[in-house]
Amino acid sequence: MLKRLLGKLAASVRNPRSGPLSAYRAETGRSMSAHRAQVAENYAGRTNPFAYYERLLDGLLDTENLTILPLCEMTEGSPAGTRVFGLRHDVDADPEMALRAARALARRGMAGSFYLLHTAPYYGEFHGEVFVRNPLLPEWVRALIVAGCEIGLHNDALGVYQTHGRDGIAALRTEIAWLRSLGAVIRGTVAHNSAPAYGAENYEIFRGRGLWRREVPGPGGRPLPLGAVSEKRLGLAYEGTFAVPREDLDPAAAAAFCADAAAANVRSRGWMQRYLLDNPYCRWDVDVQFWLVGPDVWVIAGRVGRQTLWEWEVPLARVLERVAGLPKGTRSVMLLHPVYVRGA
Amino acid sequence: MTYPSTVFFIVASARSGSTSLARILDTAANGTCAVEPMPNLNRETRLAMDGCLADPMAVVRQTIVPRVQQQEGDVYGEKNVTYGPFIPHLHQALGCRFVFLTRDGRDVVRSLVNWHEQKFGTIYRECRDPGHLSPQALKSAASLPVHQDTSDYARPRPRPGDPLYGAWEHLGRDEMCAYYWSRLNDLYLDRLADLPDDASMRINYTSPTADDVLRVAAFCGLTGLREGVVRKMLDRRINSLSDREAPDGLYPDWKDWDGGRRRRFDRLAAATMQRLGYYTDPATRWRPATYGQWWREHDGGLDWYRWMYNSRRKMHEDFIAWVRARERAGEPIESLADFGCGLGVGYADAFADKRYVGVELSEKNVAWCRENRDNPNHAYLCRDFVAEPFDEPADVVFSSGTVDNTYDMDACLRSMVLSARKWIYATFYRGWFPHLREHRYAWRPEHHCFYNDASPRRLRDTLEALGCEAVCVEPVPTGNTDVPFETRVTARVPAKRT
Repeated sequence: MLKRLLGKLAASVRNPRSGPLSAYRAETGRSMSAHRAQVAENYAGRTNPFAYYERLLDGLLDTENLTILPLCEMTEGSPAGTRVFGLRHDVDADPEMALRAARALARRGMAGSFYLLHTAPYYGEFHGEVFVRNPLLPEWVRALIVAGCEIGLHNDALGVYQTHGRDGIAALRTEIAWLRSLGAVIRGTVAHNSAPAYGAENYEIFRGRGLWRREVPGPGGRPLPLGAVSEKRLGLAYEGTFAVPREDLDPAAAAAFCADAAAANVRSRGWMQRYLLDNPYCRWDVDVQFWLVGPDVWVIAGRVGRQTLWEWEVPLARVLERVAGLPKGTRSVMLLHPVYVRGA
Repeated sequence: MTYPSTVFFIVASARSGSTSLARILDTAANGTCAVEPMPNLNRETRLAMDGCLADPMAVVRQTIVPRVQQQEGDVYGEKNVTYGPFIPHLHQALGCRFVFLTRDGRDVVRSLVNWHEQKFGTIYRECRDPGHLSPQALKSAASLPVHQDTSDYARPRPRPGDPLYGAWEHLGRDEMCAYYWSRLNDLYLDRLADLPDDASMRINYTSPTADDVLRVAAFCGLTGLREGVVRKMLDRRINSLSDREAPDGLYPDWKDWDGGRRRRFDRLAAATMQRLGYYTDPATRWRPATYGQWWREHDGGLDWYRWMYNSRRKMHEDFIAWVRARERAGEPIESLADFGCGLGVGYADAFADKRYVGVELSEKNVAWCRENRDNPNHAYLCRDFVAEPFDEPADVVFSSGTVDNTYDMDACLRSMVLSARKWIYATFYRGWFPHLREHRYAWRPEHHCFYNDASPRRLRDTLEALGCEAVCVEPVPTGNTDVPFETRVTARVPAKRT
């Protein structure tokens, strides 16, 4: 059964080196204005105005006994009497809106964590054997440093293997070192995508973060080097999805969930409930997660004590109500993609 | 428990010199002056300014009063830049005195921006331009996450409802610093005004002298300060970038600000500059004390002004031809005013048949014209035409090669428009600078005048904002090789209300 599932999984994963020749694709290099237009087209109908993000921040500021920390400071539990809250920003598509968000936080003296996606078009592109970074990137990084937010890498090491057929660990190591050379203090990463995209979670590249023992085929049929790199040796202190392997993991169920790439969709109620609440391969080392997934559309999922929280497609007002009602001693994360607050 | 008999607080905006003053006062024989002792109320001052601090008196009683009560000695002082909202509470709780230290806002803005770029990288961290940070400043910013940066948090920001609230994210750092300086000094002025007169004194620390500092010491009850030591400490420029072993900054001295920087600063801080007496003239912002001295003292006589006229003869003849052309087109020009007329060379003759009023900054030139030019239809006036519009409106107000030597080119144009009934006409001898977004000003102290390069875009914007029509800003060939084109401005002025 497991073998069959793994076979399916292998077929579902794009592998440019193992199949027939990839189709020839050509496009003209993009300026930032063209990139903005493309992002606007891709996310049409899914965004909120930026003022919505500011309303969120002001709402959190008005919430009593809420300690908002960067994710790098959330690893040591919650100080007594407070509720710890992290604002995780996955910068998948829109670095300019990420900067705007970081500045809105700075204006309010609030912490936020921003993870730059090293495989995103705004970050860079492969040209033959060379990965060429966007020349605007250093200025964005410096601006984020001045804004005072936490900067991390949105880890897509497996994407580098599976989509580009390149060494994902080298990419991770190189980009972390490069961001540090610009002056950024990089303490952690957050995995991009979910296991159904590549057959494994991006954080499984790190030693000790494997979900269960298995081989996941990578480029050329060679297995992906899961667990092959030490976070400590990369100078990393945490992984910001806060996922931990389930002690009661059922490999078949986990593999089946991983193999079903077609179902994996943040706008699918069933999949999101499974992923956030009843995930067959991991549990979460945070109490509640709040995900912004569309125009005033949130998903709330988590467990506090014996209480299970699950709310689908709720508005900001409900989110703030839930945040205000979190018990003391809890640790929660809000997942925000700056691209979702780029609306006019 | 002892309790100092005199307690004082130095209140100021950051980068005004309060650390320098505190260090000097701390050398007194009978007291101490602490620099930013903790807790320094960074968070509380922002909350108070935002109207979100429920009980400021409780904050003072829990933090500052116990600290003061622990001090020994006759006199105890503190300097902090965060006490503005707490001035009445400090006075009520401690019966203290306040030294209100001020510095020209333009110097403070420059110092704050340079402090950000060279030293800390953390001033108004939300600013869209991170600035040209030195390695030291970048490292400093990276090591201080914003949620731990109470110093930057302490700086005021516009609140919802403030007209600046929405525009804030588009402001430059210099504008944010101008807002900071203005907001803090207004706060100090307002709070101190509610106290008895003898509870505070002000010191202008823009160019402090030892005498200034000794007067402050006397006000605070401090003794034992020696003038020579005070002077040496002032010369050391305590807490300047060089004192803190950082390179000098790149942000220009305000005397070299271009028109954009001046306008941006004034928009946010001019009212406070006037309140504090740094601006004395409500119409214009920047008039060095010796401005115009060259024209007043220059003794080149008629030969020199003839030479000047001939060196730009084509430009002068172009103007005379322009007047004739308007008349031929059926628009009578009966009167003209010449801003910066010198000795009236050329024009007194060209417009002999018209009402011609020459306006000059130089009394000597005006006296010469009155004595030597006897056309009864002509008059000569001595006045600073930049600040004082002409009270006898003329059909055409013109200025040939003078506006670019004035201290405020936009104000000069404004004055010309206010003085004209039909048209203004100005030529700018320094050249044609189509790439300039803002006027570029350069004060030359040895000549007591400015050598400015005018931005065509700004000239047009200024005139259109004044309601002018048919605005034309264009390059005009001079026939010379050193300055091949001059800038010419013509505009029809709006009709005057009667």
